[in-house]
Parts: sequence; structure tokens; C-alpha cells
Amino acid sequence: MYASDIKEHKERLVFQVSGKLWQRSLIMRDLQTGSLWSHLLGECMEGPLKGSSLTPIPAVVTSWKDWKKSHPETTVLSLKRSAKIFNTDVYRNPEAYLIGINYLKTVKAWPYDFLIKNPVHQDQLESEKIVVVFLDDSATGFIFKRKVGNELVDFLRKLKDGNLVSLDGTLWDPWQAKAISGPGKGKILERLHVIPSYRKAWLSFHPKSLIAQ
Amino acid sequence: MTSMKSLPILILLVIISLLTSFARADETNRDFQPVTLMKPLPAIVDAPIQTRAEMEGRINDEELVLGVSLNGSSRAYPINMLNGPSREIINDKLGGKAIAATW
Repeated sequence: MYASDIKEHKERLVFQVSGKLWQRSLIMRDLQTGSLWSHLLGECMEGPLKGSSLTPIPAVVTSWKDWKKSHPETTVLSLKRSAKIFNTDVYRNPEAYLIGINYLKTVKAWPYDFLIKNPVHQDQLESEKIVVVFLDDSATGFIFKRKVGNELVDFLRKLKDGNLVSLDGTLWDPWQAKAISGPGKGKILERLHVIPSYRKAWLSFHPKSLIAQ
Repeated sequence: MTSMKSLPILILLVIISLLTSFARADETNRDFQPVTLMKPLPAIVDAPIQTRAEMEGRINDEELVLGVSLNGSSRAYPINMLNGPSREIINDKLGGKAIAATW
């Protein structure tokens, strides 16, 4: 999910499927300049806008049930279905999927089978301490910075009713990125842009990616 | 004598340059050599959007969606509607921002 506006071009870019694949992944083409863009990198690879980047917009892949519960006012794309297979049971092979991140100079990924065992996993990207959260019934992954203001929040390794729990007893709703009860109530977590991907596609793009295990 | 002394340094330089070139080749693979499978497909703009109430009962609870929130507005893109080459990019607007929803 990307913003369609870039500073290098006045008009909003409109993208089409280019008909090309690179590293098993979608290449987009913008109608305005005919430049080719990598979907996974968000970068223009060829054409007049080569070298430009698209700004990612944080999006989640989750179940309709979890999404509408956390976003009751949501609107919905309404096209005829072109597939039937994308249900939560697509994750019956959790080792084939991961969530990844490209943060500063670090590329790291957490496979779903690892996350099922470690639904709240404190980790580190360069000097940034983070927490990786996984809701396994809807296979939804989030990554937050652990630093809130000047304080480093310590999280318990289990979720409570889908919420993170910090050592002081505060409950944090990952959907709102916010503390909803306890001493920290009202505090905000900073969410990082996460990319859900097929493990094979990710490794083909990022052969040196760190993989949690 | 001078050339004998500089030999180890030369060898060292060669080794260093070899190591660096391997390191480069090993980084994120950025050689852009796409494979063309078909002609470009028509861009999707102005796709129909409905409210949650209108879609209730038309999507199963267990279906996967790509969800996004922007400036207080939220939208779900059921992945079963994004599958297949002709549907992989939806050019859309949400919360006053132009976006490309991609799958």
C-alpha cells in the first residue's frame, strides 16, 4: 500500500499491472511516465522516474472479522471475487509466510511458525528496540517501537484478549497502537511498516535478510 | 628488493578487493531484469466502494482483507477480490489521500 503522490511528479501517479515480474513479484507501471516500479521495494527501477521511492502506508492483512471489530466505520472494496482461497486457513503452512521489515540498513523477517510460538517477541533493529506482535487466529502481524517518550516499555510474552501487556500491568491495543487501560492508559506506540510476504519471494529479494528462529 | 617487499601488500590488496566484490554481490539483489509475461493491463480507478453495512453478509468472517486507516477513514480490500493479474493494483482515495492498494 503506497501513497500515489511523489515529490518528483506534480500529478498523482496512476498505476497499472505492467505484465512483468521481477524476483517473482509484481512490477507496476505508471500511466503518466511509463516508469516501472517494484511493488515489494516501492522503488522506481526503470524509466524517467528511476530512483524515486513511493511512501509506504501502513496496512495490515487480517481477517474480515478482526478488521470490522477494530474498525466499525470501515468502507469496503466491492468487486466480484476473483478467488476464494484467501481465508485464514491459507496459513495452514505457516512456515511458508513471514512478516518482514526494511528498517534503515537492516532487513529482517519473522516467519509465521516462529510467531505462532512467540506471539509477543521483543527484538532489536540496529539500536532500535522493538516488539513484534502476532495475532494467530487472523495471522496479523504488527511491529512497534518499545520506546514511548523517554521510557522503554517491557512487554510480557503472552497476549491478553488480543492486547499487549506491559510489566506495569498496562494493556495496549495493537490495532489502535495505544494503551487502553492501566497506569499507562492513553500512551501511544509508534508502529513500523510491516510487509507480509511469501518466504520464498522475500528471500529472493533479500538474500541477506536476517530471519528470526 | 622493492618489488619483493611490495608483493605481500599487492596480494593483500587483491584479496581485499575480491572480498569486497563478493560482499556487494551478496547484498539485496537489485539487478533489474524483469520477465515479461503479458502486455500491460488496464489501470483500475474508481472501483466501487461500499459501507460495512452494505457489505455485511457478503464477506465471510474468515476471509482475509488488506486493511488501511488514513486520517480517520478506514477501508478493507478483501484479498479474494485482489487476486489475479488484472486486480493487483487498485488506484483509490482514502482520507483525502491518493493511494495505490497493491497485492
